Amino acid sequence: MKKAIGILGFLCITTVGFSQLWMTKTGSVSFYSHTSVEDIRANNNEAISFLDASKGEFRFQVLIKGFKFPKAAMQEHFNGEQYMNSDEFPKAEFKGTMDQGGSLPLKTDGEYKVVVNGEMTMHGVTKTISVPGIIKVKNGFPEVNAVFQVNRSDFKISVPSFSAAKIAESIEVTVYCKYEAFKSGNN
Amino acid sequence: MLNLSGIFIKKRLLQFLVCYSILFLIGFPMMAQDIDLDKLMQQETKKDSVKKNEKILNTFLTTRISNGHSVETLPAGVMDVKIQHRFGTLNSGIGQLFGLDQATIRIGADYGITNNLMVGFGRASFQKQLDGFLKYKIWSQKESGTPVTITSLASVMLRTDPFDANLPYKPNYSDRLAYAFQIMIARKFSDGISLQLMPTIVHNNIVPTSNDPNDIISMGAGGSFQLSKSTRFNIEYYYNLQGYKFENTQNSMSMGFDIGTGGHVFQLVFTNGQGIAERPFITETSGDFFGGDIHFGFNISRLFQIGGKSKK
Repeated sequence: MKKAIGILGFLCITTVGFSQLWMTKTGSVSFYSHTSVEDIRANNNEAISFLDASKGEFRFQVLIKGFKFPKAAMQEHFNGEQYMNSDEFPKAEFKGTMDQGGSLPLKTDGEYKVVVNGEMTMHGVTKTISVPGIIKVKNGFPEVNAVFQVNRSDFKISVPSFSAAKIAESIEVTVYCKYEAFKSGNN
Repeated sequence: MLNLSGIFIKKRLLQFLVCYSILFLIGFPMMAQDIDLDKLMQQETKKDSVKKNEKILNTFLTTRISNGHSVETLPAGVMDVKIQHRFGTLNSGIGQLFGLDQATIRIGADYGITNNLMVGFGRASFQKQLDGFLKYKIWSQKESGTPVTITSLASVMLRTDPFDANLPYKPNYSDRLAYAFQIMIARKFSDGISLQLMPTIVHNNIVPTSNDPNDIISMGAGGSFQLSKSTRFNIEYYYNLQGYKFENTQNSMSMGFDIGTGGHVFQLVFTNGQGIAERPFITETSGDFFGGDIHFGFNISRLFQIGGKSKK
């Protein structure tokens, strides 16, 4: 009898530990460039992200070709060789860990202010960045919200001289991800 | 007694070990899975990239190779204002400023109705010709699968100048019309080279003599070679089939450069005819390209987003 309880208990623990892994394939990453000449906005709704709550680890990945612009010409230029060169560098990634590690009680509803430190890789350049954000847990499901600045020069994204006045050096990036429990074989 | 308890203890130990191994085997795969986020990310992105199979973009920099059309169409809602010049021949000498004094121009606009269907119209000062066309992209080259882009073109041309010098009567409206139909098949190769074949037929409603064919059949071939991020070298040749061409005409030959900047594409053109639009340049070219009868010209393309973008 005790053994049966012990077995059930063991299984329960492993199952609960398993649900600490979160994932989304419809995360939103958008950016905003402001200059006195022109404002440019673009959005990508197909960001893939993983969150391992037991360790406070994040992974994000977006395809550069997935960013949608209001004007077709803008989207083509953005992907072109003179800007993001998405044929050669098809994605942007981020790997980071929360300052608080796995210690946040992310199963309990509430709002948690976090700082995530990690490496961002884009356009062939990897840089360590620190991103402040908020994790909101609603009904046991985490949602992540973060706004941070990225400098184009840090990632060697220089633009041709005729566009330079229209594209800001410092770009505001907004991330919003609503997570679901990870299921292997999940499509 | 001791023996029995010894056996009893061993039995319990054995039971414990068996249970523990079973639990370990059940628990093991679950424990090992939540550790490697990088591997999970790789698996997910592999699934997605198999599904996406993106279309190949920018086989050519713009909707024309040099004189003739490329497989490219405009994105939905984009208008392309086109100004094209063709000058006289470079071997006209300094008196004619190497042909610059004999400038002809075509002014027109193209519009993308959808990402695959575009319409265009224009007027050329050479032969005072109005032209209009519809162009439909049938297949797009993809990363894997479809190996080529195939686009079709139908154009109509109307000469409005009085060209009755060789005719025994004044030409009426339908006499002034000509039509062109073209299928363009192109492939972008990975090393900055794009090649295109374009079988073409041009139909003239009337022709100068009964020996001249009303239908001119031509096999066009062209290529674009990338020189830098925003410049390309183009070459275009239309071979007119014997028996389906006018006497004393040359096959159209053109070479040039594309320079892309922001919303403009400049195309520099060196060609052996002064015609723009299919009928004049494919069927009536008379210059000998390698004999020096080279006309300099250029195409300017300026894009404006005026309609809604397509959802895709």
